[in-house]
Amino acid sequence: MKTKKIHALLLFASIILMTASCVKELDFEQLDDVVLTPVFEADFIYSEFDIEDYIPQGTPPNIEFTIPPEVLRDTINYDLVGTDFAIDNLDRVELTIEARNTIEVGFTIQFQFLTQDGQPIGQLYSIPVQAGLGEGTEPVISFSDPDPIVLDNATLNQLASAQKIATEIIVPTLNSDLRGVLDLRSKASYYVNYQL
Amino acid sequence: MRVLLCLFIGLLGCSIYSQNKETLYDFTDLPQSLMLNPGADVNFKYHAGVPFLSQLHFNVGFRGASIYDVFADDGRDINDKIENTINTLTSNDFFTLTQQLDLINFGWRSKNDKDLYYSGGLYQELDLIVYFPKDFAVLAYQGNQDFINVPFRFSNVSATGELLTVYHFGYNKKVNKKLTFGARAKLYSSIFNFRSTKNRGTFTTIETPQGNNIYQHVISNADVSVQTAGYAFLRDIESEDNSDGAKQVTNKFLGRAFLGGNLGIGFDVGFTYKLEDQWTVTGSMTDLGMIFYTKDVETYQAKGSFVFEGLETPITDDNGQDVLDELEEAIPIDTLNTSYSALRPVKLNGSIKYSFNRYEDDSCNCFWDGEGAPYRDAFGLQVFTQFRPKRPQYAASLFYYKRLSNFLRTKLTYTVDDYSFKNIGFLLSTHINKINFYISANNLLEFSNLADARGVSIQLGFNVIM
Repeated sequence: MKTKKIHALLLFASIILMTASCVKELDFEQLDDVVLTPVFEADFIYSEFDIEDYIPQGTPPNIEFTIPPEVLRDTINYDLVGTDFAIDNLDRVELTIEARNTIEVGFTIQFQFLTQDGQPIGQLYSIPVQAGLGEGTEPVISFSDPDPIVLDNATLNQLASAQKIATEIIVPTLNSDLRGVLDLRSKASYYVNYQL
Repeated sequence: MRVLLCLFIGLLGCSIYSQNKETLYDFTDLPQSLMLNPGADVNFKYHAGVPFLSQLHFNVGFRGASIYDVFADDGRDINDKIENTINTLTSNDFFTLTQQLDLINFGWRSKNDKDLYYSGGLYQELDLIVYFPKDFAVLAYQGNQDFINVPFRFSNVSATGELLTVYHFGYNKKVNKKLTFGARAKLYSSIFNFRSTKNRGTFTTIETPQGNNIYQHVISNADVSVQTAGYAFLRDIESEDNSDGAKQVTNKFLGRAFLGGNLGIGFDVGFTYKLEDQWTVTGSMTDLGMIFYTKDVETYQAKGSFVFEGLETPITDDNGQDVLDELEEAIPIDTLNTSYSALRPVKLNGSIKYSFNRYEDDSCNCFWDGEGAPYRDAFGLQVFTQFRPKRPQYAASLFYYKRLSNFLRTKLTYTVDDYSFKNIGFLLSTHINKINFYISANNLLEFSNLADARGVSIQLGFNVIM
């Protein structure tokens, strides 16, 4: 009997210890306030346009020529936002685009988001590229206007079904004496705002 | 939710802590000391643990941070606290969970040889260690914008988990007046195992002022793998979506628990040596063994390098481009069914003890003829090491043993380990007739606020000892 009593007492004491040991001053409702705001940087499109590659063979010096527009048009698969989850939790996407030009003419670079079946969606983006100073010189750098191009959440919602991107380099009439390279470099910064 | 979390944390605290059972080690009044040192100097005639109740061990440890660091109700913004915690933690910090439940435990003294004590039984163990994947936590929480040119290392991902049952049988022999030696053979039956410990490679976003594009995203020499045993079957059940899935899982688990799983073998060895009458040295090595995973094995492995610099336009090659296809080609994810084996986490214990204040020969009726009367007090030093995937865990304890009466025996420990520098532990063992009850807790200083503790434990159990 005595044994039982002592054991019961000890058991009781341990239960008290366990209960008394519970945590204090914790607030798990703070979980509702957790916001993840990482920023991911990823390369976007790039292009190298070396004029020498496009001068038709056998063209004599100092002759004007044109490049058929379709040669510098392209459609590539680019899933801008991927999933609904991404749209819901993306604050914005910023596109930074720079063009470095040593060719002594100006260009225009355009891109447009497309749906899976090729329908344009959202606006057409146009980046004017200033003329360069010739082969072997420091390239003249042009940026998009505005820089960066901000796709806010509303725009991203509009672009939800974007699956492709159409690009085009619009080239004026060229001269076969021109030399140099137009480099297009760009990145997308994804600003996530994810609330638990 | 809140109640559940509180209960969960409460349970963590109520459970028993760490593979290091510093209060139980060399506490030879309890048969459980034989599990930590098969060469413990025990003096039982027989013992039997109360089935399922002879030992419950449950340990949770955080190295580097506590729940309180993040969830304290202190008016600070939780996002700041999370960021601070992520910044404070390193990839050597970890979360561990160890739980053991003694299902059967028994022992008896040989009739032919009074110096020989046999013991055996069956226990179940869950062992999990997850290192803090610092680099990828930072990547997920802050992104790569502030970490251009900084490699994110796949080696940060390191974790192992094991659920198994252990069948064991040991003997304990008093070789002479000074030396007691013991050994235990173990048969492991693994129910579930996963391990991902040898990951290599990096992911870096490199700024390339002279490159094709603004950055290069480089996965360099990646070699990431997860070995699993016992998982493929579970996944199949899930995909079939059977209504009796739970039953199937239970049956399968029970089957594996009773030697139907992946088997392994191991040994414990240990000794007690009386240097002089009052000085004692002990040492043990437990779980020196290996499990061979041959059944229901799946290893997922991704190996390779990949560079992404954006999408080239106009496309210059004829193939078109699909980044994901290229990535999959460069770093294919293979599912392998090759067997593997893994060492159990070896544990080393050692102690030196000075005993004093012996019972007057006639004052207690607590020892056998021919044996010396027990000491009522002892103090000493214990050390503990456990091998883990990245590096061993260490602990050192000062202890004081006090036999208050035949009925009541206690031990107080002060431990320094990976989790804390102020860990006070206490064990209380009652011996009333043949019935023994013991309870032990550590990190007592943290008991008023378990959330701030980085590991807390209570051990308890019932035995019949003669």
